[in-house]
Amino acid sequence: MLGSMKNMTYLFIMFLIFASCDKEDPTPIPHIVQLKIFEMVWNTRIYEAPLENVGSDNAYIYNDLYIVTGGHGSNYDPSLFAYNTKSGKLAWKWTQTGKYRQSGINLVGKDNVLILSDVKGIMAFDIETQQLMWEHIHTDPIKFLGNVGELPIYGDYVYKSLSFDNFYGPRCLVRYHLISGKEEKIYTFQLEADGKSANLSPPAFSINPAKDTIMFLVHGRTRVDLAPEESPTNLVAYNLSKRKIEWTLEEFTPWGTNTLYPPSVYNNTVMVAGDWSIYGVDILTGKVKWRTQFTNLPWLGNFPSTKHLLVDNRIYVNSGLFSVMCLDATNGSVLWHNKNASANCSPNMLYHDDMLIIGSFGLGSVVIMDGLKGNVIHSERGERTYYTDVLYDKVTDMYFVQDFAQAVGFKINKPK
Amino acid sequence: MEVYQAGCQCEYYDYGNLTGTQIFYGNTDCESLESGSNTSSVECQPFYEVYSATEPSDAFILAQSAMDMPGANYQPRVMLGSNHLQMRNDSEMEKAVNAIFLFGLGQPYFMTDVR
Repeated sequence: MLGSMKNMTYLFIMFLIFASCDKEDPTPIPHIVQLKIFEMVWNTRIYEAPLENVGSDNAYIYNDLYIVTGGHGSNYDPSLFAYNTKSGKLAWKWTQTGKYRQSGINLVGKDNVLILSDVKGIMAFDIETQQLMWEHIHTDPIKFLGNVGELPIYGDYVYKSLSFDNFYGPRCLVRYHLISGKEEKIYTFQLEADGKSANLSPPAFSINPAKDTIMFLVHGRTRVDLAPEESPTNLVAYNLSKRKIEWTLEEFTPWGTNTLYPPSVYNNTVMVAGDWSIYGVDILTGKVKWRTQFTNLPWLGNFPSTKHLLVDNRIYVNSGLFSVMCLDATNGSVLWHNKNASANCSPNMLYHDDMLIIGSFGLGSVVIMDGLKGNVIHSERGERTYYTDVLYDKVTDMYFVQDFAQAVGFKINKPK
Repeated sequence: MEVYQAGCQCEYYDYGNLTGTQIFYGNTDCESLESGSNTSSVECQPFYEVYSATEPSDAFILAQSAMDMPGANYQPRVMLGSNHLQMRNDSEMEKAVNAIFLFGLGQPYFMTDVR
């Protein structure tokens, strides 16, 4: 009897063991990792501390290289720095050996050709061979002075606006062949009888029905002794194929306004910023089709520091202070207007994944906005002021920016 | 920072013994609150408080002084991160000076020839 009780006890214990073995493991509590919207992947000091770098607002991506310039003034260095986009490690540094020897205000590129430019001159650099390709010194001897607005590349040429004698002299649109560097003067805007100088924007391009290439230029008519509100602005359509002016829209605004960045072209409309408005002008007739005013802006020449960004049928404009707007390029209607988003935007805004991404040097931040709704998704202030254009690289799915000390590679984890 | 009379603090005495205190906020005429008899009295004194207010500033210049620029006809530049002492010699100022004298803020007025 005792033996069978003992056996029953063993059997019961065995049953408990098996029963406990059959029991499922407790469901683990999921470990939720909240991804940062601005996820820094690497940051590399451009110079050893305490030196800072105030270089060009522009940068360039070529294959796996993120290329930035050295400093302008306080830490003058006419060098280019190339960082590996994945690791942030310095791949190479190239210091100029020619006559130009400037760090460059503007940096643009096409394929392996990198263009550096400022008031002193312009040069081209071959990224593949790391060799100087060509250079032009505007001020040696002084023949004209360079503008520091954007340098559009169209076809095989880079375009630049230059002044003769001084900044108030006649203004000439010049282009340089990207490979050979051959300089070609296209058209000169003379001084006017009353002393108004010809401040000239970089050109925007379009092809007309006759297959001619048309350039659109903002022609600011400024007198040295008069205020911006007394400096009217024209819009000029110049036929590059026939080398003649197609039409001039005279004094579309009485205010001197941005001439550093080109207008934008969408279908049959050229859009240009003037005073506190965006104007839509018919490409063929030169007549104003629409004007969209932003009355919250000060009565000054607004939109001075950022190029308009055209995405599909939407045009994104940045007032220069806090307002960022999105307009329907077909009729100028306002799709959204954020009045407190981005102060002192860098020259170029970036649009990717339905986000408008802005290097805002006034805020010292990378500002990430919803490109369709206009709300700020995130604003990330840099340790030492993010101040440059933000670039995107499809291969690494990463973004790049600089502050006054370092080059930075980051990802954006867009909230669902 | 400012010291001001917030009211009167009164003390109640009964047969010479302190039996209670009370603060009358907003009343500045403390004598009018006093009274007395053979057995009890009320004695009042002005009651003071310290008022302090923080005005927005960059830790060096008041915002109201920094922001007003009547007659300006160029867009202001925002320089967060630099106060009026730091901006004399920092990287933000270098960038701002470049924007003015090299870019002319989009106009030629401030542009300066290279020498």
